[in-house]
Amino acid sequence: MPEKTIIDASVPNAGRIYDYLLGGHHNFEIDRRAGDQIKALLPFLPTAMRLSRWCLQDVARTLTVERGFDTIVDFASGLPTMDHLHTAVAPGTAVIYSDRDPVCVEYGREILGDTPNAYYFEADCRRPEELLARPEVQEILGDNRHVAFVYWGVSMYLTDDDIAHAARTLYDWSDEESCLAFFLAVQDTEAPATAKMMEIYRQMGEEMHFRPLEVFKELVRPWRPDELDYRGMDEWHGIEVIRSEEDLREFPAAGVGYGVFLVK
Amino acid sequence: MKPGLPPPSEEKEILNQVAGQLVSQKAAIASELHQALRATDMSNRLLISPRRLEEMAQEELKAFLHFLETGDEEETHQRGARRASEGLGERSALAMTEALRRACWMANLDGEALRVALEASGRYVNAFLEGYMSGREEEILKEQERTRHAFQRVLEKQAHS
Repeated sequence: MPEKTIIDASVPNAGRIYDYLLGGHHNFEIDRRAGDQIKALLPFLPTAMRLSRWCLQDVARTLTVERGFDTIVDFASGLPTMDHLHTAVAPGTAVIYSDRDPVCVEYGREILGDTPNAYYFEADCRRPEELLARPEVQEILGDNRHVAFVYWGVSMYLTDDDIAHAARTLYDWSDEESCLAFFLAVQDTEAPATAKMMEIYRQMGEEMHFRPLEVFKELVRPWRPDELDYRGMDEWHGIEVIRSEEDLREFPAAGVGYGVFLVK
Repeated sequence: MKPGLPPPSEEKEILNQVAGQLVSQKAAIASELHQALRATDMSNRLLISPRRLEEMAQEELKAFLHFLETGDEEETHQRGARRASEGLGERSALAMTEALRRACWMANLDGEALRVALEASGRYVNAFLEGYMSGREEEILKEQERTRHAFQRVLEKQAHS
């Protein structure tokens, strides 16, 4: 959830660097240079990002095919690629994407085209109430409060207060059976390479925030994990990803972070 | 027909025999393919998660066996393009085609059958990779155009606000 719009090509942008590190083409030379700097510091980072992003299709299927949700509201959707939620949901599911960056929104609308029941709105994930209060969203949702929310790959741009506020707002707004799918990125901020990466982002005007799982659990209360609990990415995908000792120092917890379905 | 090759009908018969031989080793070849895909999975883009690789190995082996029967390079070309648009990484594409070529080498074929099989696998790999490269290029150009259009629309909105 970068502060600056992605349209500003004169400085590196966190959203476009993210895209570059994932192998996308929505980035410029200046982003690739910053991305290469980060890759040199943290060679495991692109793998870590892929591992978390690969979950999206599982999240979409789990929420709609297995758990029967017919509405998903996704926050900080970013530059939507072909892997995003609407490609894997059960037929008839309404998917509402959102991002605060107007270029992401326009780009997302290009991708979605005439896809039925898929929408993209400009909104800041730090204030989910603003998206939910939009007239267009209210028209889609009507009285429906049985909704699955998704915050995936954005936790590092949110302060503790942002997370607590979003969690509480969505908890109060939604019905008893609703769900919040969340990916929590975990890195050791004391580790030298991670500290340098955070400094690079800081110089771009982007503050990054990492917190341990135990802190996160407190922030999202009264949401609680479902029976699958918090899962590291190896466990989620059922694979063992090879990491060097250096990788393990920088990404100590579950290799990259945790995915979870939070319920009431 | 290239010099030294058997006439088409004879070649077809040999390829059917080759396909039969490979079918008898299907499980082992699919496993090789899966390992090749698994070893290069981080080159894949996002639609191809590790969970899908086993199924993909089976699909690719089936497509190769089908090619040995039909020799349809156009179909293979389209297959390569489709894999590119799904997000198959370059390293995975190369590892997969290499595994298919290796399967022919390892299939206990006699001299003439081996030669025909390697010729056919060469045609298959070329058609697949040509399709893959054109598919990649098409994706990149499509993404560029979407980016341009999105930027233009935002700039227009900003100009009017």
